[in-house]
Amino acid sequence: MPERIEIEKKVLSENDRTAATIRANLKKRGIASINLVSSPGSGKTSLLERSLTTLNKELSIAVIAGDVQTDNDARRLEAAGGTIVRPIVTGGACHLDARMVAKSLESIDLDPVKLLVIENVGNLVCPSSYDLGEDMKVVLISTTEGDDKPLKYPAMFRKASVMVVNKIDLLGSSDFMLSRVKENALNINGALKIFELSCRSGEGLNTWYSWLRELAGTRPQTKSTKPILI
Amino acid sequence: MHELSIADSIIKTATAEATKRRATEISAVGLRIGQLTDIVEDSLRFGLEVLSKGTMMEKAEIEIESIPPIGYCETCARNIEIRKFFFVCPECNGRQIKLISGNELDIAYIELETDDKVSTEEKQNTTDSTDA
Repeated sequence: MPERIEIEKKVLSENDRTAATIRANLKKRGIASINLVSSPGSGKTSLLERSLTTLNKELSIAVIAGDVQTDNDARRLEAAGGTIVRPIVTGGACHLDARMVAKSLESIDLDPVKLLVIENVGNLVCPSSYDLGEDMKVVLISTTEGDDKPLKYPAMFRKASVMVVNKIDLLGSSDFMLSRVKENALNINGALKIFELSCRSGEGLNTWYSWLRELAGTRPQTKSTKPILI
Repeated sequence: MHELSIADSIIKTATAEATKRRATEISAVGLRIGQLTDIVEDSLRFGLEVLSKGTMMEKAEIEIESIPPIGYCETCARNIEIRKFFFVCPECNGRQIKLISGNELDIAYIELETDDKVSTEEKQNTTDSTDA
């Protein structure tokens, strides 16, 4: 007779353990961290290029750039002024996991780093299941996509703390409505902090930079988007 | 597409547990999967079928319990059913909703076949020592 054993184990417990170690290590060092997620082509790399160019002289930012193939994004980020950029080529995997991030972090001198940005693989489904040890997930959506994306990928929008709407210079060129995407996103996650910007025109970027500065200058609590005033 | 990675993690976890208990085969695995995990059941079953070949889980029957999302409205102080993933309270329209369930990705149980040669007493000792 087969014997049934209730084991009650989390399938991703190994990943979660590694993520917890990363989180503790970053917290100890006072490094803020975000996990940047979006569909392919929403502008994750563009947003990071702009951020690095503007903030690099005042703030030490490390970037781990995940991609299925090629290290093109990492090279773009280095060209934009990124001094600590590490590519992770997953070779087919649709998401980054904590083990990949831990391995990549081993190659970074974390002493001067104030902010770690993990640019995930362009995908709104799979990365939502994997904790990478970050303080928060930032989900990016652009005005050339459907404004119902939060409804189509609720898990990601639910787990994110921040939503960035990119390409607002193109508003009016498609049926995308800013009010609708915000309404949809807030119905999934009422606590979302929302930024509206354009990496091309530069509109709204200053607010984003200020938020990054505050984030990096403080030690944000896990899952909290509120900067702590010192 | 992450069902394949999830299947791999399930097989590794289940076979490790079975080995620890000196089982020869896993005859069934019970999974609890929250609907908010975006796991496609058919893809997961396919992944488990392909990746379990040659492992103790090869012949295991897979039972999947799908857990609907339940939220807790902090304004009304009560549990609410989350319909179409709308985290909005149907009573007060509040959006301060805490997730109670729907995010599970757990192995609830495994059913093990053990070699008859291993006595019950011996198994008991193994279980005791691994728990300690």
